Amino acid sequence: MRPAPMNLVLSIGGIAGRLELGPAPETFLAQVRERYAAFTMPAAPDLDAGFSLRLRFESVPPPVDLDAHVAFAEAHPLTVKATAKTITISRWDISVRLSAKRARGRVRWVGTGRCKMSPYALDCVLRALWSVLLPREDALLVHSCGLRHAEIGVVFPGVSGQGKTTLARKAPDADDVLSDEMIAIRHTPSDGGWRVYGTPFWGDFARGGISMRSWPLRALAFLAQRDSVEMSPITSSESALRLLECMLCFQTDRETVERNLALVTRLCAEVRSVEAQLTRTASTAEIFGKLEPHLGVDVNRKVPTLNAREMISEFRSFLRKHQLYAFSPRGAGLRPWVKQGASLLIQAAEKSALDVGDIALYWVPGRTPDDDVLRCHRVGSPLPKGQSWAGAEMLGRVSGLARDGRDLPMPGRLDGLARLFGDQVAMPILRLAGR
Amino acid sequence: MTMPNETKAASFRREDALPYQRLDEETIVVDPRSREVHLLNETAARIWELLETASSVDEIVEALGDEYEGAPPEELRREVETFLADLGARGLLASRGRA
Repeated sequence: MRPAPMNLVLSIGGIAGRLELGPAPETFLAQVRERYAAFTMPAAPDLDAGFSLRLRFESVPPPVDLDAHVAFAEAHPLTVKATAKTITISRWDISVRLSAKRARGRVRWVGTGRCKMSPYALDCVLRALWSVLLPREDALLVHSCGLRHAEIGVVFPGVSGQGKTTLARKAPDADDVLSDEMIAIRHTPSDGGWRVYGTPFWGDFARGGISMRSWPLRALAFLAQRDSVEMSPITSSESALRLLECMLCFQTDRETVERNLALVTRLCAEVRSVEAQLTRTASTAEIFGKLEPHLGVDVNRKVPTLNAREMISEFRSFLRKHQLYAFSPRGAGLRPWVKQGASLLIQAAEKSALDVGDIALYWVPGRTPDDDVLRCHRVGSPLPKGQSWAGAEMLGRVSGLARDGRDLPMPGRLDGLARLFGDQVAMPILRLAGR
Repeated sequence: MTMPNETKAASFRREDALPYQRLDEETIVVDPRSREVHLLNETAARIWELLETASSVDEIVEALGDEYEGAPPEELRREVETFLADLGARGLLASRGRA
């Protein structure tokens, strides 16, 4: 049977993109799914996606004449061109073209392309695409190690060899690493600042961020290898100069450069910058100890997720990691079955493992990140009328209730439980996740 | 270094196509052709402003002399000439015309 294309929706730096990939052998597609797993999301039919790309893969046989192949590849380097109407990405093994379409007053990009059936070629296409689209939404991709520290994010920009992966490897909890290679920074006027996002673009650390969740950006700490650990404040303009060197941008047209320059200077004027002089042996604790005076106050103050999509994505990452997740619901939605102090247990589960009568928890996507919700449904029951479940992703099974260390019977009806898992549940999960 | 007389009489103008941004007292200039980024200090940033329109060395020195009281004119002139030569060498000036 001929393999079918795979549909994948990725959200990176706050921009969602629809991909139709393949056809390709399942082993390759599985590799792709695994690599981008933390950044995939269910797609509502009316998803507000930044782009849609149909990408075909080509098997390129190993070159017979290696010298000739190298010469050909060098003669056809990565070239990215973008205007208000088209985006083209080309390389010896890549050819992608997208056109702008206007919908709901916003520009959406639709296109097709082909690339070598290689995770590196696909990754290159994705990096190039997001590097073009993010600056148009006041965001950027930066060559840097990104670390979550308490309730904030710190970005350590640096070109190759300046210690990004070394720094990532020192993190006591690998889940705090947003990426050892490439992070996204976005201006978020709604919370008065800038946020840092993990990405699936990684270096030798071989893993990226764990979810789509963003963190308030408190400092840009430019990496420098030295004999002792010091943090030296630098001016905004020096910071901008260095950040421009680390910003991922393949275009050289005036409009793009002007836009990027304006974005970078605004970012550097508003976020503290230091030169992070590190040694190879410095521990994360020592590094953050020295950074602390430059991070501002309240690094432990809990900050809500920017939107429901980020929250659900983070919840999914916890569930994938721990397989079982418990939280105490707040509000009256579940009464009388769940009383004050009771915990609800969610167990990671495949659809095939569910039985009739089980209550499953779903990520139901909406048009915008704020429209995504968590909902429950009892297997075998009709779907509630008036609710859209299109594209929903099952996250797990509601496996039990507990109170005072005792297991409680599961509720016999669903409606209260479903109400609980509406968008109002976002904050309780967040607080209980300790984030 | 002193410029030849004909250079002193020439006018200079910055390359219009180069994106730049002022940040605090400094200015960042990006040259997309060479992918180089230049950071101009306060005085250099002021000269960059003056170079929006074609200006001779004399005109620039005069303008700076008014703004930086106490700066010896000859020292200012040397600094301006050196800076203009540097800008020219980096391709940040438009082709020169006669004043």
